[in-house]
Amino acid sequence: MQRTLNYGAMPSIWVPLPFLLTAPCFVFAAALLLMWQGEAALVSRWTPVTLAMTHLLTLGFLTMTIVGALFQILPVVAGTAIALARPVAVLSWCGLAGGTAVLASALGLGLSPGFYVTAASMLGLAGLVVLMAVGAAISHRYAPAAQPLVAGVRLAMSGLAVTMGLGGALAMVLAGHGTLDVLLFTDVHAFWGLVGWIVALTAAVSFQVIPMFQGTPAYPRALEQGMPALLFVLMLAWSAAALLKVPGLQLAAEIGVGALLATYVATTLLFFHRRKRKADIGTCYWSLAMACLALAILVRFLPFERDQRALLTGVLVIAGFGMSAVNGMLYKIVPFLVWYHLQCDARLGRERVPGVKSIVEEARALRQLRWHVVALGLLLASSLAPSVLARPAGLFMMLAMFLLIRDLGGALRLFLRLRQS
Amino acid sequence: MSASTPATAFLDVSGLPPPEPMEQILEALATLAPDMVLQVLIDREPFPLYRVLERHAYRHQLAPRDDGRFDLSIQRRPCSEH
Repeated sequence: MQRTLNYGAMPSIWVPLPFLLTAPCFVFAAALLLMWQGEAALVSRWTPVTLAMTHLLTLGFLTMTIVGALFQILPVVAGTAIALARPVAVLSWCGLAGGTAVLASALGLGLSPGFYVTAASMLGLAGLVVLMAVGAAISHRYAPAAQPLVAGVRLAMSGLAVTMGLGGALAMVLAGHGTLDVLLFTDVHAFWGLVGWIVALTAAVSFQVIPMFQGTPAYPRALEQGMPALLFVLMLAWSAAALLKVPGLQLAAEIGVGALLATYVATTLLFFHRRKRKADIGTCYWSLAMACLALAILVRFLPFERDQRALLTGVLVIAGFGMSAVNGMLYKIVPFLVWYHLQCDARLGRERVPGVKSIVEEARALRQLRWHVVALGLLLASSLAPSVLARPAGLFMMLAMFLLIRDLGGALRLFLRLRQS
Repeated sequence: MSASTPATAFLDVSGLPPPEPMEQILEALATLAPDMVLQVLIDREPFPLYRVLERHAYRHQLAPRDDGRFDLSIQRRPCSEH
């Protein structure tokens, strides 16, 4: 079945672009922290600097780009517009960017309890605005072909709500209000954030964009419709088992989640393997993302020490799966947005608008991918030998992000120059 | 050819990933004589193209095929419609 896009309802370029262009700056900040703190950042997942970096990457980069992309993809694919897109975008961007910066500072520098309350309030506000705006948009009629995407987004949004609720509760405990089993609730919070929000949402979007941009067949109906719902049920079972301390059920649910994600990875990689077309740079980013997700599933069930296993799994899901998929999509989305909005400008002669592939040339994306792979390899290796490799990993991560910021910034400069001329 | 049947140029963009179909259509339009029709064979309805065509004074007609693809014909709007 072919996918159709409804670009007629595309929002202004200034709705998604601020999210997509500021997100890499948070990775840059995380890389600076890693270079500054070195071993302390990767020796355990509980050090202040590790917690700060984790939130810079998950909230500042992954959530920021996902929210920006949702403003774009929902009207385009589902034909359902987010009402009041500009004010919603401004409010959610301010809450997300400000809240992430305050939370990372509070966690990393051990700031006073008031900062945790401030961060939780800002992120809570941003999250509520996004949940309400997206929830309202997908409650309207939407294109029938977008049903799997909408169902996936709905469940991923529920995952975000659970993650936010648990994160808010943990922030209140850190601020000195109330008590909780912090270790247990952090585990549940992290599982929902990584799998229930980031992996679930990325997978739902990939069901739409991989067949379209990578030229693969459409995903099997059972997978694209069944996976989000089954994932949600398994995660609920896992959480209940963790909270009620039923280890047998918890392990069974975890195996179920692993098997489900492994099926998704295997299907995608098989599609790429069978494809006749030469792999483009987007396929390389997606292949890397899938390989990292497969490794994360494997590591989860290998006999590593508990803390080290959690750290490795986190690096594989956040930097390996999430960042690889998002980096690749940014190299597709931003040049297309620039090209499309220039084409729509009737004041510009068409001959003055460069081809979409020359806005950010593929060689640049390939260069970024290479540095990203090196940074990722060093990050993974430094989870095992942090004293030697943590700082080089930070340096390469910073260089990879510098290239991404430079390339996306170049596309923006071109847009502004042509619009103003 | 009769005066009421404009000359037609054909373009097949089926099988291309987005946004190549849109790029090729816009390139073809740039070299198309004002009184000609561009007849395009395309995999999916090109929603993004419509706004660009509108802004650049083209009109279009879309007809679905039995195989799921579409025939899209594009023509410059007469001056009286501008």
